[in-house]
Amino acid sequence: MVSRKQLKIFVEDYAEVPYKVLNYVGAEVNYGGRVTDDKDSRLITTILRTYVCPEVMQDGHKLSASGIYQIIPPGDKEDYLEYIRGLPLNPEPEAFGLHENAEITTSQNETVVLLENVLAMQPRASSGSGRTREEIIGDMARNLQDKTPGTFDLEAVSKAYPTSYEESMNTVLFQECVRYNRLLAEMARSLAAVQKALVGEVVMSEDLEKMADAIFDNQVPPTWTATGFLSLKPLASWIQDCNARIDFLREWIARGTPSVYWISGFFFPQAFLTGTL
Amino acid sequence: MSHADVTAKPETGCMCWGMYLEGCRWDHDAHRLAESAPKKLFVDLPLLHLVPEAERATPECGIYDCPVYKVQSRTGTLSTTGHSTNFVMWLELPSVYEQDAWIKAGVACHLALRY
Repeated sequence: MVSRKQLKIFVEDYAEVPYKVLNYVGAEVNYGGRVTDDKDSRLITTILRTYVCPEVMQDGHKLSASGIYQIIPPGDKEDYLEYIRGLPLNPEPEAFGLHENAEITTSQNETVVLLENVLAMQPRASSGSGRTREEIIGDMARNLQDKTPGTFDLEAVSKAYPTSYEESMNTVLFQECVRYNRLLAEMARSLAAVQKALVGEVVMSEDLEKMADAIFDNQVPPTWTATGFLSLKPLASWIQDCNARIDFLREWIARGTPSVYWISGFFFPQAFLTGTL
Repeated sequence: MSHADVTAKPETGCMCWGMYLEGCRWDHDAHRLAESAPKKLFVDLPLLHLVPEAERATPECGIYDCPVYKVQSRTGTLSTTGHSTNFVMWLELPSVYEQDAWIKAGVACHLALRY
């Protein structure tokens, strides 16, 4: 609405159409105010630039690579309606400036959401025959406990890699160890607790209940997500990833500052980058 | 050259690896971004050598300012330190096309994938 009014003002008041001004006012002022992410606002600016430019005044100017979306010659209402009816019902990714692969990503995401919903609807009660749900969760928890690495000896790390002006990486390493220790301690505590709760030795609290459900569904337990690194992986690959990260740090502690860093292994990569740059 | 071949530390900056590129492909011969190959959603970004430089002027063209995220969701919240929980940094990747094409294709780097 506002943009349309502004368009009228600008077109009437200036000898030439100020496309640059229109772009800025539309993307940065009218929409930009509501967008908090700078990457989103960059995208809006870019998209708007395809539609607000001197070329849109030419007939047949293509707005997408295939030319399905283009500027049509002026006509009456019927002509425009006819063109709009001719547009594909299920637009190809190119309508949004995307590669065909984008369609695969969308389908994959839809599948994941669908399967997650199916999983959430699974019955929670254990069936009559075979092992009970509790037994299965207990086994899985024990398995996870075996795979959980021990915590870092912070004192030894800070002695071997003291905070110094010459080697900023020492600080990064120490802070990473502190962060991973917090997660590893939580994993060890909750895994022991959940196993006890399953056999009835301690009270099954809400947290433990949620954790048991998560383990059964191959999801990362909520308390781990809260103390752990950001990840979208399911539990099985999450624990592998976690071990790989710990190994990376252990290697570092044992063999000295590495010559090449595995950037994904950091809990907080920004700190690493500040340390190097 | 892969990360396993690195034996010595560089004199300045540091080497790092482990990033995935989404929405495009890395052209190993031309050393720049290229259109994705069909059915290849993610590709490994080659070994990176990050070199710090004081008061560097940002190049006007020939690069794509690529956002680097920890995970694919691309959303994050700002923490008290001013860092995002997900966004890591901007990475200038060489490219012959205009930035616009990559911005619309949503090209980004990720440190970890979904699986």
